[in-house]
Amino acid sequence: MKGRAPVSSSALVERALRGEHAAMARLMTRAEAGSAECRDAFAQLYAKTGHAHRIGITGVPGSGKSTLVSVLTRRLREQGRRVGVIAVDPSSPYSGGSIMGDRIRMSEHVGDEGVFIRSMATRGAHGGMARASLEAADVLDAAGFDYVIVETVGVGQAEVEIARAAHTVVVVSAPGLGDDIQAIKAGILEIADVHVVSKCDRPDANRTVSDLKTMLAMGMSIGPKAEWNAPVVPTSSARGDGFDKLIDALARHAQHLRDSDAGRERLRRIADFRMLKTAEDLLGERFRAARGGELAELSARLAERSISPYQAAERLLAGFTA
Amino acid sequence: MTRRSPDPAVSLSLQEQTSDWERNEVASFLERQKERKEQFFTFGGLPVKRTYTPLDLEGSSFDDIGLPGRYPFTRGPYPTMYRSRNWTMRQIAGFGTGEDTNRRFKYLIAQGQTGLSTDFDMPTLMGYDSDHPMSEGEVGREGVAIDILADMEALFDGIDLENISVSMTINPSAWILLAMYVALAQKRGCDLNRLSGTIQADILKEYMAQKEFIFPIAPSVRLVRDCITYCAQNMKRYNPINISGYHISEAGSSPLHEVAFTMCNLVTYVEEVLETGMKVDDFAPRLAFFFVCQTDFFEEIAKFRAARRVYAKIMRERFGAKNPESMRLRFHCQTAAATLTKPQYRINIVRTTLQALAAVLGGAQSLHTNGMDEAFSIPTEEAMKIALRTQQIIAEEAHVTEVVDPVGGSYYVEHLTNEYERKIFEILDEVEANGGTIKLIEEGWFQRHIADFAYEQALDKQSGAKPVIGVNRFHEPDEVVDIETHPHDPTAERRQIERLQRNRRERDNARVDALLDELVGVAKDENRNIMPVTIELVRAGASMGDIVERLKTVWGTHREVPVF
Repeated sequence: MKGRAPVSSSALVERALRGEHAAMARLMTRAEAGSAECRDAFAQLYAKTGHAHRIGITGVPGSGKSTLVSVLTRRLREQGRRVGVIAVDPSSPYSGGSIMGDRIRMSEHVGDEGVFIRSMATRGAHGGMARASLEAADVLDAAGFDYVIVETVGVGQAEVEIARAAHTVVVVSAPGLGDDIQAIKAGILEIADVHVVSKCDRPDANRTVSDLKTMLAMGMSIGPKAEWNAPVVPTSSARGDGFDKLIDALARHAQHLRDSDAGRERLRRIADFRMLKTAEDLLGERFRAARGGELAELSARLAERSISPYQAAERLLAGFTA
Repeated sequence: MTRRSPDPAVSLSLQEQTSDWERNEVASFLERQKERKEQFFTFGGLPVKRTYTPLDLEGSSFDDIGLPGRYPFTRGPYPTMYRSRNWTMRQIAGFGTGEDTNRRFKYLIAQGQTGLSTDFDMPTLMGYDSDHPMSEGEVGREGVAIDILADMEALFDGIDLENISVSMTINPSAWILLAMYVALAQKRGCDLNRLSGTIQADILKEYMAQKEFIFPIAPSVRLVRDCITYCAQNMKRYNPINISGYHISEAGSSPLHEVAFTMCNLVTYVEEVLETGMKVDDFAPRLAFFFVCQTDFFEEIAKFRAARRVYAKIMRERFGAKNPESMRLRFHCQTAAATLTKPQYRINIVRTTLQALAAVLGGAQSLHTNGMDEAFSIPTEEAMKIALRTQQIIAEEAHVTEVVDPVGGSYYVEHLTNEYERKIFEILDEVEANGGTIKLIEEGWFQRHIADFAYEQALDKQSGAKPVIGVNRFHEPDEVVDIETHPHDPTAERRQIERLQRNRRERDNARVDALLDELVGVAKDENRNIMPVTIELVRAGASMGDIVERLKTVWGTHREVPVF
């Protein structure tokens, strides 16, 4: 690299806090790279977070999450709110899953200073994905966005956990997906603070809504007062239906978190998650630096079955101090 | 609806009085004490005002209220109602084999019950024989097991079928039970035209709500049609269908949707029968209904009154009925099982009493009051006796049966009745505009509305917004449940299967096979009635399973794939 020296991360933070989109984007890239240089700067940034309503949106592929996010973003903008979107979704149009989709769905937000959309590279980079995408969300939070939406595909524990590290978790279901897809979905329904049934312009969405409600009603216990019942919000991105209700449900959930112990518990859970994920990253990094040389050798022996996985692991760990 | 404008002078002064009252008495009272809620609603979610006056009936005429036994039958299907004859006290019963349930029937008759009602076990409801692998563990558990004509003979042994009406809660396999009933009556030398009773046979509400179906919708509706036309020609006093809102309600719908969806089904059945060339007045007098009585006392009364008026108007105005018998809605009523609780189960008697009273004030022709133990299992004799006594007290001690439609003219109830009528017709129009009942069943439209209300109710019960005494109010955490429930007899299954298999050995199998082949021919020809060959089959010893399994090869089955 000739000429200019790289801009320091703390200088980027200064500019990001002033709302410069370019600076935000560069900080996110550095978060993805996970370079040690930017850690102090991110600490500085983290101290300024805590104002945005962070919303995790997840659902199986084809459930219409991205279109939902696009319409939701538009509606929130119409109310004068600033909206940041982090898409952690290999199938997401923003991350190249569908270039056409990107143009069609999100082009309306191009050039709007009140919207920032960023897709996180997920392919081949599972390690550090949670830390990086949540740091990217920090950038938007600190830069004063009112809503920070983190969209992840609801397949795979890592992706689901990222969506869960939000104040409000929205799980999107859709009509007309195959049985195999529906089965995957079963595992993520329980994390929802708000259920959305998308594509409700389709007649078969009735079945999706009624089956979902029937199932949720059966799981309810009558008696001691429940603190929060996840509402079911039918939407149609094509017609723009249901978004007022969705925004209302998000606001009511935020209010519920403010008014109850659930809010503190939620923040503690998110803090736990972030601390552990960051520790995992750090550990992995230091581990590879210290013991990288031995890995190949032990792997070879393990493959030959001359040692067991446990024995190999014990030897790797022997003498390792972080 | 024809609207008559009220006397402007009277109306004006009443308007002024009302405003004055709100500014003075109401306002000063509210200053001292606020009302319990910002807004009040019926159980079904209709907003309710502080009080009602003639102003709330503006635009409706006395013709809509009318007189009992006269069009539009708002006040009752008959001019004298309970002054002539009380409603039929019809406690449902069914468990074990025909013999087991027969003993319960005789006990109930001895206790003063005036009609019979039969609950069948799951295999019978779904068309499986008791020895089918799907039936294992279910035979006689939640109802009586009926496979063959001999079971039916045991069920009604010693009961005079010409002198008691018998209702059978059966749907996709209803026509087979009707065939057995006919075969039994003929064997005893009864006159078919003297038999009174009902098969439920309302298959559309199964697709909407209860989900007990065998065949696809089209052949299922044809079976209903065949029952209706057969009865119209051969059983003048028998109700070939009980168009039912009850199960729609128990699946969680609002009272409004209960009635409105039932009327959608009515229209579909009537159109199906008219297709055969039969005249509406030839079969409509035997159409009967079945509604729940839910917890909102006045709303339920208004619901029943509105249902009668809507039915009368549909039959006369839409289908051109001329005979008043075709326009008078008669209904069986059951108190709302889903309102019963396990905690402090004895208080279910009180719930049931209030619901039963609303059913009587709403003009029911027949009533089942639930047993206090029905949140646990099928009821014991003791629970059934108390439930029956509840009806007897209402009939004999409460003096509510001396006047026909005693709540008629209540500004509130008349207003609610009008609201219900208006909304039911709106829903009928909406269904029509969107392609009709069967299309919307296939699209899950009805199911969606039912689930929406059920879900709201579940949320409200969980949050405490909807009080349930003993559960989310006045809950007793240390309660020890001391209930003795009806025991399941483990020998019933064996006894049942023995008879079924003995029958298979002893019958003329060649004849059964020949008749089953004939059945296939009838099934394939839309224009033929399936009843005669089915009667022949059950007489020859064919079982329900024989008939249903053979028809599955012709029509296939209906399946609903769960979304979640």
